[in-house]
Amino acid sequence: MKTCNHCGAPLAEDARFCGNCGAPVEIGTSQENQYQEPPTYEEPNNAFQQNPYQAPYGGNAPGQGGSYPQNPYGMPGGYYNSPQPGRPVTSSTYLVLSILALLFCLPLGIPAIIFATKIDRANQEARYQDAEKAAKTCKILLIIAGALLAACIVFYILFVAIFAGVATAWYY
Amino acid sequence: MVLLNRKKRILLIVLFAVIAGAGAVFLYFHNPSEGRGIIPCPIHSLTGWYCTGCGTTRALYSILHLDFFQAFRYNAALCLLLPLLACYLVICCVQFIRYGWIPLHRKLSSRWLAIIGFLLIVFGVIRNFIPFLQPTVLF
Repeated sequence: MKTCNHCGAPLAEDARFCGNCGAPVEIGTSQENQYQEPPTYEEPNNAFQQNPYQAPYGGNAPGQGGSYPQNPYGMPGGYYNSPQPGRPVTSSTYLVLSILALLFCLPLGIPAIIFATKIDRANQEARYQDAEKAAKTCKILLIIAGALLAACIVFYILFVAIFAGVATAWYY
Repeated sequence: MVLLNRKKRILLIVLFAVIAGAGAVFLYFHNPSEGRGIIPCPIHSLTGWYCTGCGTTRALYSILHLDFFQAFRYNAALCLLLPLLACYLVICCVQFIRYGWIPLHRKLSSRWLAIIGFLLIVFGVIRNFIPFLQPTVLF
């Protein structure tokens, strides 16, 4: 009897989603994943390890599986239609956190929200590697923003505690 | 990916609520407009321009004292978003305790979130030109 990895409820053998919490059972079977990975895409990952790597269509780093033999548009870089293997990244967390960063006066909230929208656009175009990259940048930006905020608070507490009574024209 | 067991999750949320409550009590008794404030705004200190979040502390203080008009004049964006943020926070806590993860994140429409985000950036820019949106004190 399988159990859900997230909530621990028992699952039917052929269940794809947990009936209790809705989490997908296997990797890659998320409901929001509009892009169905065709079986042929399993080949290129193995092929790259065996064959010498040919120059890819521009725009994709080597080893990322960006070179697909059937590119109907014939465009170098394949910006419009070069799907990449992987899972879609949930962009809502990043978006909410960057909105909170904006509301907290953190200047890094602006690039954070730009990258968060990039995640979403890459998700829609099934460019999951780009989505992961944008998610990583967004996470770094948010962490730096949070660390700066924490440093400001600590610095301010120390400032007030040590030099109590010093008046500075802070605006908040 | 179940984070801790259920009891520990409840403890974590309770701890978070206690800290938030302590912060709210502290804010209730310390008026940011006079005396020592809470946290300065980095953008305003450096450039003198108002940013999206300028006035949020004062607005929260006004809301704690149930002065909603004053809160709106301090930071309109916060007043409009606060109900949504409160709902989001409550749902996150409840789902975290029940499931260990937050299914809400898969269901939130990222288009609306992006729209809200960009509106916040626009708000941060135009409030420098529209006096009604700048933090003002009502008498």
